[in-house]
Amino acid sequence: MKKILFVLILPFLAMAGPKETVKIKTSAICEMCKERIEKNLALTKGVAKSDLNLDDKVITVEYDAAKIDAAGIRKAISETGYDADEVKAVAKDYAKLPNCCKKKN
Amino acid sequence: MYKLLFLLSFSTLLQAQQVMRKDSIERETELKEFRIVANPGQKDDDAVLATEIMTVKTLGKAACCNLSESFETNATVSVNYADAVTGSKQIQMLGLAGTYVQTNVENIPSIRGLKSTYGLNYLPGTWIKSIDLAKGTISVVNGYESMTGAINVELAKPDTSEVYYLNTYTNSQGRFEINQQGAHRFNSRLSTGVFTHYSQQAARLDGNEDGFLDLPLFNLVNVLNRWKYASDRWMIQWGANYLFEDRLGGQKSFTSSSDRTSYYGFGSKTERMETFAKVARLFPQKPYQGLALILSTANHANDSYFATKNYKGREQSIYGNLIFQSIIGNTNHTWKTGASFLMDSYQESYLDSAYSRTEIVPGIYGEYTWTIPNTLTVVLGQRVDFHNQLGTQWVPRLHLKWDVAPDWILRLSAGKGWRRVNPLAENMGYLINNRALKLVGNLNPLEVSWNYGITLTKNMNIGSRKANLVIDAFQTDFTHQWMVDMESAAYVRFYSSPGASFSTSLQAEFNYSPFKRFEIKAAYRFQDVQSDYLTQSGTLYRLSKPFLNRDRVLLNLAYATPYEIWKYDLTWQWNGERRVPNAKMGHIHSATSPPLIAPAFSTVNAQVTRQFKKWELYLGAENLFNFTQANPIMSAKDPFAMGFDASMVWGPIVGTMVYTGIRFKIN
Repeated sequence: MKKILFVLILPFLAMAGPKETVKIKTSAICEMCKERIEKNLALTKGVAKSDLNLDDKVITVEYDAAKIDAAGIRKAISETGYDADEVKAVAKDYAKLPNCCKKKN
Repeated sequence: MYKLLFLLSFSTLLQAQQVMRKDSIERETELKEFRIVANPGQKDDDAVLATEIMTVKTLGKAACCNLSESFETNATVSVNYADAVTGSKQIQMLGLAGTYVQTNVENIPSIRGLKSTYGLNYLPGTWIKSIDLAKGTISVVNGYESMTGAINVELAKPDTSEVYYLNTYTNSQGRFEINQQGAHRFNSRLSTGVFTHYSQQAARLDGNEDGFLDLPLFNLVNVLNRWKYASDRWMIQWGANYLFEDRLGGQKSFTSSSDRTSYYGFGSKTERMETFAKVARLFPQKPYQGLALILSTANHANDSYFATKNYKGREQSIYGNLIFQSIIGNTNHTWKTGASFLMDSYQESYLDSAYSRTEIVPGIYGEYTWTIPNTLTVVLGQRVDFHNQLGTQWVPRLHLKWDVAPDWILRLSAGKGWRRVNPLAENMGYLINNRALKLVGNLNPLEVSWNYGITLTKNMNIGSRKANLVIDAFQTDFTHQWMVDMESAAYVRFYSSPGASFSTSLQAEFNYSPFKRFEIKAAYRFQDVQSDYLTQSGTLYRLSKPFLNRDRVLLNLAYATPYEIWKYDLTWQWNGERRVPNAKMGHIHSATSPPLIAPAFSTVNAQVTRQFKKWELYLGAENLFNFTQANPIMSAKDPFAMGFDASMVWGPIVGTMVYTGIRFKIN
C-alpha cells in the first residue's frame, strides 16, 4: 500500500525536483530579523520553507535543488541585509534595516 | 513623558509632536514590523477623540484608485454617486453630507469650496499613506468646519518613500490608471518627491441601455512635487500640486462638438493649482514646546455645461495658520494657541446670473489639555472667527477620554461647527435634470450645528485571540441649515431651514481575529436623519432625509497566507431601504404625500493579492451580485422634456466590475 502511494506521488516529487536542506549561519538579532529573512526567503523561488533559530542564529532552509542552490539562498539572505555564512550582507540593504536589527558594535 | 505627549497630540499640526507620535508611515511599519498579534480594526487607543486609522494595509484591501474609493471596507463613511451622469462621488458620515466633514490633507483644509464637487476623485490612492477618521467635531486648532467629523489624509513623505514606485490599474469598464512616484534624498536633511497620476475612462459604457453613459469619459492628470527639510531645530515642508481634468458624459453618442440642443451632454473642465508650506520650529531642549506655521494657496477653475445650462466657477484662496504650543508646569497641562487667516474669492456664473464674493476670515483660538496619566484627558477649546459677511462666530469644543477600567475606554465630545455654503458647487448633481432652480425667502448661507457624541471601546481576548468592540452614538442638531428640497418634481428649491434638522447615528463595530492572519470585522450602523421641509404653500412638514438608508451592515473578512504571500479580502455590505423624492412628473409634495421607498440591496467585493519580491499583483471584483438601480435616469429617452431627472440615484449604476493591476517598488 505504501509502495503504491509512493509510486503515485513519485511523478509529482520528480516534477518538483528533489528537496534538499541547508543550514546557514546568519547575523540575525531579533524576532524582526527572523520575520524579515523568512519572509524574503518565502518570496524566493525554489525555497519551500525556512526556520531561523534565534539562539544560534542558524537558519534551516528546505529548497528545491532544481530551482535554487545553497549559494542562491545565501545571496538572497545577504540581499535582505544579513550575513549568510561567508557571504557578507549587501551594504545598501543592511542600511535599510530597522535600528534594532543592526549589529551592535 | 513621551507617552504623555503621545496622548495629547491628536490631530496636531505641530510637526514637533508628529515626530514624537511617529508619523503615519512609521506607524505603518510599526504595525507590520512588530507584528502586533492580530491587530483587529485599527483604533487609536491613545487619541482623545475616537479615531479610526486607515493605513496602507487597510487601503490595500480594496485596491482603490482615489480617496472616494478608500472607504469600501469602512463602516463609518458611505460613498455615493451624486447623480447618474457626472460621476461625482460624495461621502456621507453620521447621515450627513461630506460637506459637513472637514477633509484635510496633512492638516491643511483641502476638499472645500469649489473643489467639493469632485475633490474626492482628485486624490490618488497610491499617494495616500494613511487616513485618520474622527467622528464629531475635532480640535479648534484645525478650524471651525468640522461639523459631523473630520478626515485627515497623510500623503507619502519624500524621506521615507520608495526610490521608485509604479502602480497600474485597469478594469472591465474601461478605466485605466497609472501612478508613478519617485523620491530622492539629497542628504540626511533634504529630500524631494515627485508623484504623478494619470487616469482615463475611454470606453463608452451603457450597461443599462438607457442611452446614457453609465460613467462619464474622463482624462485626469495630477502632479505633485514636495520637499522636506528636517533638522533638530527646523522641519520645513513645501510643495506644489497641479491638476487638470476633462469630463464628458450624457447621451451615448454625445461628443464635445455635438449640438447641445439635440443631444443631452455634460462636460466639465477643471484646472487647479495648489501650493503649500509648513514650517515648524522645534525646541530640542523643550520637546513639549513648538511653533508652527502652515500656509497654502489654491487656484481653481471649472467650466461645465449640463446640456444648455452653463456653469463657470473660479476660486482663489489663501490660508494661513500659526500655532504655538507649550505647557504649564508639567506635561499634564498643555496648551495651544494660535491665529488663522482665510481669504476665499469666488466668481461663479450659472445660466444668466453671476455670483461673486470674497470671504475674509481671521480667527484666533486657544486649547487647554489636562491629563491625569492613564486615567483622564480633557481637552477644552475655544475659537472666535471674524467672517466679513457672516459676522463673528464663536466655537467652543470639549473632548474627554476616560480610561474607565483596563480595556474599557469612554470618550465624550461636544462642540459647535459652522461653515458657509457653496450652493452650486456642492449640489451640481442636482442640476442634471430639467427642474427649475428656485430660491425661497431670505436665504442665509450660514450653516451652524452642535454635535454631541459618546464612544465606548472595549478591548478583550476571546481565548488567546484579540478582539475589540466599539459602540458609539452621535447627535447633530442644526441651528442654521441651507435646505436643498427636491421633493416636488418640477423644482430644486433652496431655502433656509424653517424648523428643526437633526441626525442621530448609532454604530457598533466588532473586530476579531479568530486565528493567525485571519481578521473579521462586523459592523452595524443606524441613522435617523430628519428635517422640516416647506410645502409650496408655506406649511411645515417633517421628512426623513432622502437617499439615506437607515440601516447598514458591513462584514469584512481578510485572510493572508504566511508572510502575506497571498492575501484574500471579502467585503459584504447590506444597505437598508431608503426614502427617495417622488420625481414623477407633476408631483407636488404636500404634508400628506405618501413616501416613496427604494429597496434594500447588498453588494459584495472581493480581492486577491499575490506578493512577489519586488512587486505585487492584485485582482478583484466589485458588486459581485451584479445589483444595479433599475432606472437611474428618469425619462432617459426624452432628456429635453420635463420629467427627465438623473439626480434620483440611490444605488449602483454599473454592475459587476473586475479589475487588476500591479504595484512595483524599488527601494
